[in-house]
Amino acid sequence: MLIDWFTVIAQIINFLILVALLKYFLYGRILKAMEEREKKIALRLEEAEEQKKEATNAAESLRRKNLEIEAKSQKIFSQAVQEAEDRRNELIEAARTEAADLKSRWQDSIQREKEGFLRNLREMAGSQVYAIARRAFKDLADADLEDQVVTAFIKHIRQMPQDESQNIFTSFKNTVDDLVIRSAFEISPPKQKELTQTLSEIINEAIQIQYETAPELILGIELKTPGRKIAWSLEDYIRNLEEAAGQALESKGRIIDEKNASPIEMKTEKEGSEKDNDDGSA
Amino acid sequence: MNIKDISPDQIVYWKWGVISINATILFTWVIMALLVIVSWLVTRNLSSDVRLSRWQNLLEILVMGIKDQIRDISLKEADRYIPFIGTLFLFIAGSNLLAIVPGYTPPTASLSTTAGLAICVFIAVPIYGVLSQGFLCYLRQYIRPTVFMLPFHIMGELSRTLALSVRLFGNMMSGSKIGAILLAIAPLFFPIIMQVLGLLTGLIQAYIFAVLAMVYIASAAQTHAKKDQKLKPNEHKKGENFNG
Repeated sequence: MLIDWFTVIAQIINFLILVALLKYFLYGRILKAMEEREKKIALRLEEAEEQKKEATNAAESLRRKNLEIEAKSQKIFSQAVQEAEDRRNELIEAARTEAADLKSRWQDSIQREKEGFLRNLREMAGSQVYAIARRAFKDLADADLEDQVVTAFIKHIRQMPQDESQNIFTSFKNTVDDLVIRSAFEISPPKQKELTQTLSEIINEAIQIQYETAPELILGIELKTPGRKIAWSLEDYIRNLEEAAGQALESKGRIIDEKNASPIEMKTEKEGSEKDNDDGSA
Repeated sequence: MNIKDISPDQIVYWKWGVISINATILFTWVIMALLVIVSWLVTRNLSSDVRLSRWQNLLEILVMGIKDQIRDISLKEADRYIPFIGTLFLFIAGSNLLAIVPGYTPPTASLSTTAGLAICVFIAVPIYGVLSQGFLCYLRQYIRPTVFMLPFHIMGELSRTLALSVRLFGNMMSGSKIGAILLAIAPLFFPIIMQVLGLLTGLIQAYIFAVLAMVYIASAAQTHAKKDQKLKPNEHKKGENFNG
């Protein structure tokens, strides 16, 4: 007999024991572990999904914030650029105005200096020339020359037109005062006599003449009536010379100004020239 | 060659009255000890984390493979059948594969063992049937489609149990005996090839035994599934897709 019944029963029991043991030691534990792992993985996946969603949201909000910041910064930047541009223009304008101011002030001061210098020069040159001339004439003045001066004066009176000399002397006739003849030197008695005679001839009556000396006349002689004056003096020549020299210097200064002039300086120059004219007229 | 050489039951190590410890029982214990010790060692500190040991990985693959096979056949949740079917497979495969160890006789080469296992299946089928669809429903299955089919159903149950046990016994017994016979004829190389072939057939036999047991159990629990299908066709379709 191939089947031993005791062995069969023993094997059935063995098998059932094995089923129980393996159920406890193998299947139960392994399946439980796997289930737990599956749950964990599912949980992790869920967490990961959630985190991913969170991250996406965060990224989205961050991106939006970035865009906002960028826009804001762009705005601020453009504003700043605009402000800087405005400020720059302002500064440039201010600097330009200031520069123009400075320039015109400078021009003014230069002009003034120039004018002052020219005036000084003119005055100095004039006074020097006149001083020299005066000294020269004073030094030269002697009796002969003084006589010549008186002669020239008499000649001058004689050559005056008739109506003009009449005018002078009719006005004299109306007064009671003496005729006054002032001269830089003592007129010699013969010459006094000649002069008196000449005047008497012109007025057609005897007159009394009072002779005075005035050194400032420089070789000059003058006849004064109330309201009129007949004079011959070197002082006049010198004054004419002085005027001519002043005009020459002024015109020279104007030429220099025109050479240096720029468009901005037109006004200053004009003012200067006006001043010059004023000076000239004065 | 007499009957003693065919069955390891005849190799008795210890005998007291009816109780005799023969090679079949002894080697069954060896295999049981081996399976339990390996399982205990590996599952002693299981990790439910993503990182796991190689042995745990191996056992998980094994258990998952069994589970998938059961689910494919039963079209139902496999957890209920795993201990029974899985142990059948592991025990038969273990006892067959150890045949390469010299001096070892596979317990499955004994008709007593295979008969014992077939009886277990024979008892398990109605138990699972009753558990899944109730006592009356299960019994009604025997008189379908008519009462006249009852004897055929019973004959079928018995004959397939016999077939199960004899198929496994025949294969394993012949495998080990052919090895011995060929050793006498061609002592070099050829027996090695036969041993390799023996390992293959041993594994296939274990697979066939377990799958057939599962098929019998599944067919016993089948009616219930059909009723389910009628009631909730959509749900079942879903389940089918999932299993497929």
